[in-house]
Amino acid sequence: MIDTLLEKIRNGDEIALSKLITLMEEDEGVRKKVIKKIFACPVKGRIICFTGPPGVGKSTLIDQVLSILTSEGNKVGVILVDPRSPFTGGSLLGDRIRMQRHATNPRVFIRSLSCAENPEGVSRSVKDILKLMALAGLDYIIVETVGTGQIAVEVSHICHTTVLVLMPNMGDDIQMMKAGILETADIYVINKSDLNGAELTEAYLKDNVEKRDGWTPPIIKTVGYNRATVVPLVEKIKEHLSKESCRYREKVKGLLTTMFMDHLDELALKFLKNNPHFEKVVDEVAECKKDYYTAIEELFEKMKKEVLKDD
Amino acid sequence: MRRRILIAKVGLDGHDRGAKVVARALKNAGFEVIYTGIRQSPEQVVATAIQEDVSLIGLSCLSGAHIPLFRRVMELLKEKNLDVPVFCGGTIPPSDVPILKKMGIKEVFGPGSSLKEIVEKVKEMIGDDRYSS
Repeated sequence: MIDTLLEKIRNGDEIALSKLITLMEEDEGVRKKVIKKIFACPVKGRIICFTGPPGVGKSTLIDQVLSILTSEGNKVGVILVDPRSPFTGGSLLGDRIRMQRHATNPRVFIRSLSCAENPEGVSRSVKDILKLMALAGLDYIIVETVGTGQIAVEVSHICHTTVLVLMPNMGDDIQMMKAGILETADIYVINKSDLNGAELTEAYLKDNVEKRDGWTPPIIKTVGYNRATVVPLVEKIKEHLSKESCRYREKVKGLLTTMFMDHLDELALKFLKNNPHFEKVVDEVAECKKDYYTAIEELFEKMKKEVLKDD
Repeated sequence: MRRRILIAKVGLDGHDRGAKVVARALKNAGFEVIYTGIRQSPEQVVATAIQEDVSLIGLSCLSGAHIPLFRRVMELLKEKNLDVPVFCGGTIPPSDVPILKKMGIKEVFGPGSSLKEIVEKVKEMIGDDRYSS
Protein backbone atom coordinates (compact mmCIF):
# COMPACT_ATOMS: atom_id res chain seq x y z
CA MET A 1 0.00 0.00 0.00
CA ILE A 2 2.86 2.38 0.81
CA ASP A 3 4.28 1.91 -2.67
CA THR A 4 0.98 2.80 -4.32
CA LEU A 5 0.64 5.90 -2.16
CA LEU A 6 4.22 6.97 -2.89
CA GLU A 7 3.65 6.59 -6.60
CA LYS A 8 0.52 8.74 -6.38
CA ILE A 9 2.35 11.35 -4.30
CA ARG A 10 5.08 11.61 -6.93
CA ASN A 11 2.33 12.37 -9.43
CA GLY A 12 1.04 15.17 -7.26
CA ASP A 13 -1.94 13.42 -5.66
CA GLU A 14 -2.93 15.54 -2.65
CA ILE A 15 -5.23 12.96 -1.09
CA ALA A 16 -2.50 10.31 -1.14
CA LEU A 17 -0.01 12.72 0.43
CA SER A 18 -2.51 13.63 3.11
CA LYS A 19 -3.29 9.98 3.87
CA LEU A 20 0.33 8.91 4.08
CA ILE A 21 1.12 11.80 6.41
CA THR A 22 -1.59 10.49 8.74
CA LEU A 23 -0.21 6.96 8.56
CA MET A 24 3.30 8.21 9.29
CA GLU A 25 2.04 10.25 12.20
CA GLU A 26 0.28 7.30 13.75
CA ASP A 27 2.74 4.50 13.09
CA GLU A 28 6.47 4.57 13.62
CA GLY A 29 6.82 1.42 11.50
CA VAL A 30 5.29 3.16 8.48
CA ARG A 31 7.54 6.15 9.08
CA LYS A 32 10.68 4.06 9.00
CA LYS A 33 9.54 2.14 5.93
CA VAL A 34 8.74 5.33 4.02
CA ILE A 35 12.03 7.00 4.89
CA LYS A 36 14.02 3.93 3.89
CA LYS A 37 12.24 3.88 0.55
CA ILE A 38 12.41 7.57 -0.31
CA PHE A 39 15.58 8.81 1.27
CA ALA A 40 17.86 8.39 -1.73
CA CYS A 41 15.37 10.00 -4.14
CA PRO A 42 16.56 13.33 -5.47
CA VAL A 43 14.36 16.18 -4.25
CA LYS A 44 14.40 19.84 -5.03
CA GLY A 45 12.30 21.03 -2.10
CA ARG A 46 14.09 23.27 0.36
CA ILE A 47 12.93 23.32 3.98
CA ILE A 48 12.45 26.63 5.76
CA CYS A 49 11.61 26.78 9.43
CA PHE A 50 9.73 29.59 11.14
CA THR A 51 10.10 29.52 14.88
CA GLY A 52 9.59 31.93 17.74
CA PRO A 53 7.42 32.57 20.79
CA PRO A 54 3.61 32.25 20.54
CA GLY A 55 1.80 35.30 19.25
CA VAL A 56 4.64 37.05 17.42
CA GLY A 57 2.92 36.51 14.06
CA LYS A 58 4.63 33.47 12.55
CA SER A 59 1.50 32.20 10.81
CA THR A 60 0.60 35.60 9.38
CA LEU A 61 4.13 35.99 8.04
CA ILE A 62 3.94 32.56 6.43
CA ASP A 63 0.68 33.63 4.80
CA GLN A 64 2.52 36.53 3.12
CA VAL A 65 5.51 34.38 2.21
CA LEU A 66 3.10 31.92 0.59
CA SER A 67 1.50 34.60 -1.49
CA ILE A 68 4.91 35.89 -2.64
CA LEU A 69 6.37 32.46 -3.44
CA THR A 70 3.29 31.16 -5.23
CA SER A 71 2.94 34.31 -7.30
CA GLU A 72 6.36 33.40 -8.71
CA GLY A 73 4.97 30.02 -9.71
CA ASN A 74 6.47 28.00 -6.87
CA LYS A 75 4.70 25.10 -5.23
CA VAL A 76 4.84 25.32 -1.47
CA GLY A 77 4.01 22.87 1.30
CA VAL A 78 3.39 24.03 4.84
CA ILE A 79 3.54 22.04 8.07
CA LEU A 80 2.07 23.78 11.09
CA VAL A 81 2.90 22.35 14.48
CA ASP A 82 0.78 23.18 17.49
CA PRO A 83 0.96 21.71 20.98
CA ARG A 84 -1.06 18.73 22.16
CA SER A 85 -2.52 18.76 25.67
CA PRO A 86 -0.55 16.57 28.05
CA PHE A 87 -3.78 16.10 30.05
CA THR A 88 -6.40 15.13 27.46
CA GLY A 89 -4.31 14.42 24.36
CA GLY A 90 -6.50 16.91 22.52
CA SER A 91 -5.36 19.89 20.55
CA LEU A 92 -6.69 22.93 18.76
CA LEU A 93 -4.77 23.43 15.56
CA GLY A 94 -5.33 27.08 14.82
CA ASP A 95 -2.36 28.30 12.78
CA ARG A 96 -4.18 27.54 9.58
CA ILE A 97 -6.72 30.31 10.12
CA ARG A 98 -4.12 32.92 9.16
CA MET A 99 -3.53 31.41 5.74
CA GLN A 100 -6.95 30.10 4.72
CA ARG A 101 -6.96 32.34 1.64
CA HIS A 102 -4.49 29.84 0.20
CA ALA A 103 -6.65 26.80 1.00
CA THR A 104 -7.88 26.34 -2.55
CA ASN A 105 -4.63 27.39 -4.23
CA PRO A 106 -3.44 24.32 -6.18
CA ARG A 107 0.17 25.40 -5.56
CA VAL A 108 -0.24 25.22 -1.78
CA PHE A 109 -0.57 22.23 0.54
CA ILE A 110 -1.10 23.03 4.20
CA ARG A 111 -1.12 20.46 6.97
CA SER A 112 -1.50 20.99 10.72
CA LEU A 113 0.10 18.57 13.16
CA SER A 114 -0.02 18.31 16.91
CA CYS A 115 3.12 17.63 18.80
CA ALA A 116 3.48 16.17 22.26
CA GLU A 117 6.71 14.22 22.42
CA ASN A 118 8.79 17.30 22.67
CA PRO A 119 6.52 20.27 23.17
CA GLU A 120 9.29 22.73 22.67
CA GLY A 121 10.43 21.56 19.30
CA VAL A 122 9.55 19.43 16.35
CA SER A 123 8.26 16.00 17.18
CA ARG A 124 10.16 13.13 15.66
CA SER A 125 7.49 12.35 13.11
CA VAL A 126 7.53 15.92 11.76
CA LYS A 127 11.08 15.46 10.58
CA ASP A 128 10.09 12.38 8.55
CA ILE A 129 6.92 14.01 7.23
CA LEU A 130 9.02 16.92 5.93
CA LYS A 131 11.09 14.41 3.97
CA LEU A 132 7.96 12.93 2.47
CA MET A 133 6.68 16.35 1.46
CA ALA A 134 9.94 17.06 -0.29
CA LEU A 135 9.12 14.11 -2.52
CA ALA A 136 5.82 15.63 -3.64
CA GLY A 137 7.44 17.98 -6.12
CA LEU A 138 7.24 21.03 -3.89
CA ASP A 139 9.75 23.82 -4.39
CA TYR A 140 9.65 24.98 -0.80
CA ILE A 141 8.47 23.41 2.42
CA ILE A 142 7.76 25.71 5.31
CA VAL A 143 7.50 24.38 8.83
CA GLU A 144 6.14 26.44 11.68
CA THR A 145 7.04 25.14 15.12
CA VAL A 146 5.71 25.60 18.57
CA GLY A 147 8.29 28.16 19.31
CA THR A 148 9.30 28.82 22.86
CA GLY A 149 12.57 30.37 21.91
CA GLN A 150 15.55 29.00 23.65
CA ILE A 151 15.12 25.26 23.53
CA ALA A 152 13.84 24.72 19.99
CA VAL A 153 17.38 24.26 18.71
CA GLU A 154 16.56 20.83 17.32
CA VAL A 155 14.46 22.49 14.65
CA SER A 156 17.43 23.98 12.95
CA HIS A 157 18.88 20.53 12.32
CA ILE A 158 16.21 19.53 9.86
CA CYS A 159 15.89 22.77 7.93
CA HIS A 160 18.00 24.45 5.33
CA THR A 161 17.08 27.86 6.65
CA THR A 162 15.80 28.78 10.11
CA VAL A 163 13.91 32.03 10.58
CA LEU A 164 13.45 33.23 14.14
CA VAL A 165 10.50 35.56 14.55
CA LEU A 166 10.47 38.03 17.41
CA MET A 167 8.56 41.22 18.14
CA PRO A 168 9.30 44.52 19.84
CA ASN A 169 9.59 44.69 23.63
CA MET A 170 10.35 41.03 24.15
CA GLY A 171 13.15 41.56 26.59
CA ASP A 172 16.36 43.45 27.13
CA ASP A 173 19.86 42.72 25.90
CA ILE A 174 20.40 40.03 28.54
CA GLN A 175 17.63 37.93 26.99
CA MET A 176 19.32 38.28 23.63
CA MET A 177 22.65 37.14 25.06
CA LYS A 178 21.27 33.83 26.37
CA ALA A 179 22.38 30.69 24.60
CA GLY A 180 19.99 28.61 22.56
CA ILE A 181 17.79 29.31 19.59
CA LEU A 182 19.14 32.85 19.25
CA GLU A 183 22.40 31.30 18.15
CA THR A 184 20.91 28.89 15.67
CA ALA A 185 18.77 31.14 13.51
CA ASP A 186 19.91 32.04 10.01
CA ILE A 187 17.57 35.02 9.70
CA TYR A 188 16.01 37.16 12.41
CA VAL A 189 12.69 38.85 11.96
CA ILE A 190 11.23 41.56 14.15
CA ASN A 191 7.59 41.33 13.26
CA LYS A 192 4.95 43.88 14.30
CA SER A 193 7.72 46.43 13.81
CA ASP A 194 5.13 49.18 13.49
CA LEU A 195 4.86 48.94 17.28
CA ASN A 196 6.98 51.01 19.62
CA GLY A 197 10.32 49.55 20.55
CA ALA A 198 11.24 47.87 17.26
CA GLU A 199 14.45 49.90 16.92
CA LEU A 200 15.57 48.98 20.42
CA THR A 201 14.92 45.28 19.85
CA GLU A 202 16.84 45.56 16.60
CA ALA A 203 19.78 47.22 18.36
CA TYR A 204 19.87 44.53 21.08
CA LEU A 205 19.79 41.82 18.43
CA LYS A 206 22.47 43.47 16.31
CA ASP A 207 24.83 43.42 19.27
CA ASN A 208 24.45 39.69 19.64
CA VAL A 209 24.28 38.37 16.10
CA GLU A 210 27.53 36.84 15.01
CA LYS A 211 28.96 35.77 11.70
CA ARG A 212 29.14 31.99 11.35
CA ASP A 213 30.49 29.99 8.44
CA GLY A 214 30.53 32.98 6.15
CA TRP A 215 26.98 34.06 6.87
CA THR A 216 25.96 36.97 9.05
CA PRO A 217 22.32 36.46 10.02
CA PRO A 218 20.37 39.47 8.79
CA ILE A 219 17.74 41.23 10.91
CA ILE A 220 14.59 42.13 9.04
CA LYS A 221 11.75 44.26 10.32
CA THR A 222 8.34 43.22 9.06
CA VAL A 223 4.68 44.02 9.56
CA GLY A 224 2.77 40.80 9.00
CA TYR A 225 -0.23 42.28 7.21
CA ASN A 226 1.94 44.42 4.92
CA ARG A 227 3.20 42.34 2.03
CA ALA A 228 5.83 44.88 0.96
CA THR A 229 7.67 44.47 4.27
CA VAL A 230 7.84 40.70 3.81
CA VAL A 231 9.42 40.83 0.33
CA PRO A 232 12.94 41.49 1.73
CA LEU A 233 12.51 38.49 4.03
CA VAL A 234 11.75 36.20 1.10
CA GLU A 235 14.80 37.59 -0.73
CA LYS A 236 17.02 36.88 2.26
CA ILE A 237 15.64 33.36 2.59
CA LYS A 238 16.50 32.68 -1.05
CA GLU A 239 19.95 34.20 -0.62
CA HIS A 240 20.59 31.98 2.37
CA LEU A 241 19.27 28.89 0.60
CA SER A 242 21.73 29.47 -2.21
CA LYS A 243 24.59 29.51 0.29
CA GLU A 244 23.50 26.98 2.86
CA SER A 245 25.32 23.95 1.49
CA CYS A 246 28.43 24.19 3.65
CA ARG A 247 26.50 24.58 6.83
CA TYR A 248 23.86 22.02 5.94
CA ARG A 249 26.33 19.21 6.41
CA GLU A 250 26.88 20.38 9.97
CA LYS A 251 23.14 20.49 10.47
CA VAL A 252 22.77 16.91 9.28
CA LYS A 253 25.46 15.90 11.73
CA GLY A 254 23.42 17.57 14.47
CA LEU A 255 20.30 15.75 13.33
CA LEU A 256 21.98 12.35 13.30
CA THR A 257 23.47 12.99 16.72
CA THR A 258 20.05 13.85 18.12
CA MET A 259 18.47 10.80 16.50
CA PHE A 260 21.23 8.53 17.75
CA MET A 261 20.86 9.85 21.28
CA ASP A 262 17.08 9.47 21.14
CA HIS A 263 17.41 5.89 19.98
CA LEU A 264 20.01 5.19 22.62
CA ASP A 265 17.74 6.68 25.29
CA GLU A 266 14.94 4.41 24.19
CA LEU A 267 17.09 1.29 24.19
CA ALA A 268 18.69 2.18 27.51
CA LEU A 269 15.30 2.74 29.09
CA LYS A 270 14.01 -0.58 27.85
CA PHE A 271 17.17 -2.31 29.06
CA LEU A 272 16.89 -0.62 32.43
CA LYS A 273 13.25 -1.46 32.95
CA ASN A 274 13.85 -5.11 32.11
CA ASN A 275 16.68 -5.36 34.61
CA PRO A 276 15.58 -7.23 37.75
CA HIS A 277 17.62 -4.92 40.02
CA PHE A 278 15.88 -1.79 38.80
CA GLU A 279 12.68 -2.08 40.84
CA LYS A 280 14.68 -2.94 43.93
CA VAL A 281 16.82 0.16 43.50
CA VAL A 282 13.70 2.30 43.02
CA ASP A 283 12.29 0.97 46.29
CA GLU A 284 15.53 1.63 48.14
CA VAL A 285 15.59 5.25 47.00
CA ALA A 286 11.89 5.71 47.68
CA GLU A 287 12.39 4.43 51.23
CA CYS A 288 15.40 6.72 51.69
CA LYS A 289 17.71 3.77 52.27
CA LYS A 290 20.04 5.05 49.58
CA ASP A 291 20.52 8.37 47.85
CA TYR A 292 19.88 8.35 44.12
CA TYR A 293 23.45 9.11 43.12
CA THR A 294 24.80 6.07 44.97
CA ALA A 295 21.89 3.94 43.78
CA ILE A 296 22.44 4.72 40.12
CA GLU A 297 26.23 4.28 40.39
CA GLU A 298 25.79 0.84 41.94
CA LEU A 299 23.17 -0.14 39.39
CA PHE A 300 25.42 1.00 36.57
CA GLU A 301 28.33 -1.08 37.90
CA LYS A 302 26.10 -4.12 38.27
CA MET A 303 24.74 -3.80 34.75
CA LYS A 304 28.19 -3.23 33.29
CA LYS A 305 29.38 -6.51 34.81
CA GLU A 306 26.32 -8.30 33.42
CA VAL A 307 26.92 -6.95 29.93
CA LEU A 308 30.58 -8.02 30.02
CA LYS A 309 29.57 -11.47 31.23
CA ASP A 310 27.11 -11.80 28.32
CA ASP A 311 29.85 -11.05 25.84
CA MET B 1 -7.02 6.09 16.60
CA ARG B 2 -8.49 8.47 14.04
CA ARG B 3 -9.43 11.62 15.84
CA ARG B 4 -8.95 14.64 13.60
CA ILE B 5 -11.98 16.87 13.24
CA LEU B 6 -12.49 19.93 11.07
CA ILE B 7 -14.69 22.67 12.47
CA ALA B 8 -15.63 25.11 9.73
CA LYS B 9 -17.82 28.16 9.38
CA VAL B 10 -19.27 28.63 5.94
CA GLY B 11 -20.60 31.72 4.26
CA LEU B 12 -20.89 35.35 5.25
CA ASP B 13 -21.35 34.88 8.98
CA GLY B 14 -19.21 36.17 11.81
CA HIS B 15 -20.94 34.38 14.68
CA ASP B 16 -18.14 32.10 15.73
CA ARG B 17 -18.87 31.67 19.43
CA GLY B 18 -20.72 28.40 18.91
CA ALA B 19 -18.06 26.91 16.65
CA LYS B 20 -15.32 27.92 19.10
CA VAL B 21 -17.18 26.47 22.09
CA VAL B 22 -17.68 23.18 20.25
CA ALA B 23 -14.05 23.18 19.08
CA ARG B 24 -12.88 23.65 22.64
CA ALA B 25 -15.16 20.92 24.00
CA LEU B 26 -13.83 18.49 21.39
CA LYS B 27 -10.25 19.46 22.17
CA ASN B 28 -10.90 18.79 25.84
CA ALA B 29 -12.42 15.44 24.92
CA GLY B 30 -9.06 14.47 23.38
CA PHE B 31 -9.64 15.21 19.70
CA GLU B 32 -7.40 17.07 17.34
CA VAL B 33 -9.47 19.98 16.15
CA ILE B 34 -8.62 22.03 13.10
CA TYR B 35 -10.55 25.28 13.04
CA THR B 36 -10.82 27.17 9.76
CA GLY B 37 -12.08 30.46 11.11
CA ILE B 38 -15.04 32.41 9.74
CA ARG B 39 -16.27 33.20 6.22
CA GLN B 40 -15.12 30.06 4.45
CA SER B 41 -16.38 28.97 1.07
CA PRO B 42 -17.50 25.35 0.63
CA GLU B 43 -14.47 24.95 -1.67
CA GLN B 44 -12.11 26.07 1.11
CA VAL B 45 -13.75 23.72 3.58
CA VAL B 46 -13.40 20.69 1.32
CA ALA B 47 -9.81 21.55 0.30
CA THR B 48 -8.94 21.86 3.99
CA ALA B 49 -10.63 18.54 4.81
CA ILE B 50 -8.46 16.86 2.15
CA GLN B 51 -5.17 18.42 3.21
CA GLU B 52 -5.80 17.82 6.89
CA ASP B 53 -7.10 14.27 6.33
CA VAL B 54 -9.88 14.70 8.89
CA SER B 55 -12.20 11.94 10.01
CA LEU B 56 -15.17 14.20 10.60
CA ILE B 57 -16.37 17.63 9.48
CA GLY B 58 -18.47 19.95 11.64
CA LEU B 59 -20.13 22.85 9.81
CA SER B 60 -21.48 25.91 11.56
CA CYS B 61 -23.80 28.49 10.10
CA LEU B 62 -25.91 31.14 11.78
CA SER B 63 -26.77 33.27 8.78
CA GLY B 64 -29.77 31.30 7.58
CA ALA B 65 -28.03 30.17 4.40
CA HIS B 66 -27.23 26.72 5.75
CA ILE B 67 -29.20 24.74 3.17
CA PRO B 68 -27.48 25.94 -0.03
CA LEU B 69 -24.04 26.21 1.63
CA PHE B 70 -24.10 22.79 3.28
CA ARG B 71 -25.53 21.27 0.10
CA ARG B 72 -22.55 22.62 -1.85
CA VAL B 73 -20.14 21.13 0.71
CA MET B 74 -21.84 17.75 0.40
CA GLU B 75 -21.69 17.94 -3.41
CA LEU B 76 -17.98 18.80 -3.39
CA LEU B 77 -17.20 15.96 -1.00
CA LYS B 78 -18.94 13.60 -3.37
CA GLU B 79 -17.10 15.06 -6.36
CA LYS B 80 -13.76 14.54 -4.64
CA ASN B 81 -14.77 11.05 -3.57
CA LEU B 82 -14.31 11.87 0.09
CA ASP B 83 -16.28 9.64 2.39
CA VAL B 84 -16.09 11.78 5.53
CA PRO B 85 -19.13 12.10 7.80
CA VAL B 86 -20.49 15.61 8.34
CA PHE B 87 -22.43 17.13 11.24
CA CYS B 88 -23.64 20.68 11.64
CA GLY B 89 -24.86 23.29 14.07
CA GLY B 90 -26.18 26.81 14.25
CA THR B 91 -29.52 28.57 14.12
CA ILE B 92 -31.25 25.86 12.18
CA PRO B 93 -35.05 25.66 12.31
CA PRO B 94 -36.32 22.17 13.25
CA SER B 95 -38.22 22.04 9.95
CA ASP B 96 -34.89 22.12 8.08
CA VAL B 97 -33.46 19.13 9.92
CA PRO B 98 -35.02 16.49 7.61
CA ILE B 99 -33.74 18.39 4.55
CA LEU B 100 -30.19 18.44 5.94
CA LYS B 101 -30.35 14.77 6.92
CA LYS B 102 -31.53 13.92 3.44
CA MET B 103 -28.39 15.61 2.07
CA GLY B 104 -26.39 13.11 4.09
CA ILE B 105 -25.60 15.22 7.14
CA LYS B 106 -25.36 12.87 10.12
CA GLU B 107 -26.35 15.09 13.03
CA VAL B 108 -27.83 18.56 13.44
CA PHE B 109 -27.22 20.48 16.66
CA GLY B 110 -29.48 23.50 17.01
CA PRO B 111 -29.50 26.17 19.70
CA GLY B 112 -29.48 24.74 23.22
CA SER B 113 -27.67 21.51 22.35
CA SER B 114 -25.56 20.24 25.22
CA LEU B 115 -21.81 19.86 24.77
CA LYS B 116 -21.99 16.47 26.42
CA GLU B 117 -24.44 15.29 23.79
CA ILE B 118 -22.28 16.72 20.97
CA VAL B 119 -19.15 14.97 22.26
CA GLU B 120 -21.03 11.66 22.63
CA LYS B 121 -22.42 11.84 19.11
CA VAL B 122 -19.04 12.85 17.69
CA LYS B 123 -17.49 9.78 19.28
CA GLU B 124 -20.19 7.66 17.64
CA MET B 125 -19.73 9.29 14.23
CA ILE B 126 -15.95 9.09 14.27
CA GLY B 127 -16.15 5.45 15.34
CA ASP B 128 -17.48 4.82 11.86
CA ASP B 129 -14.56 2.94 10.41
CA ARG B 130 -15.60 3.15 6.77
CA TYR B 131 -12.62 5.18 5.63
CA SER B 132 -9.84 3.42 7.50
CA SER B 133 -8.14 2.38 4.27
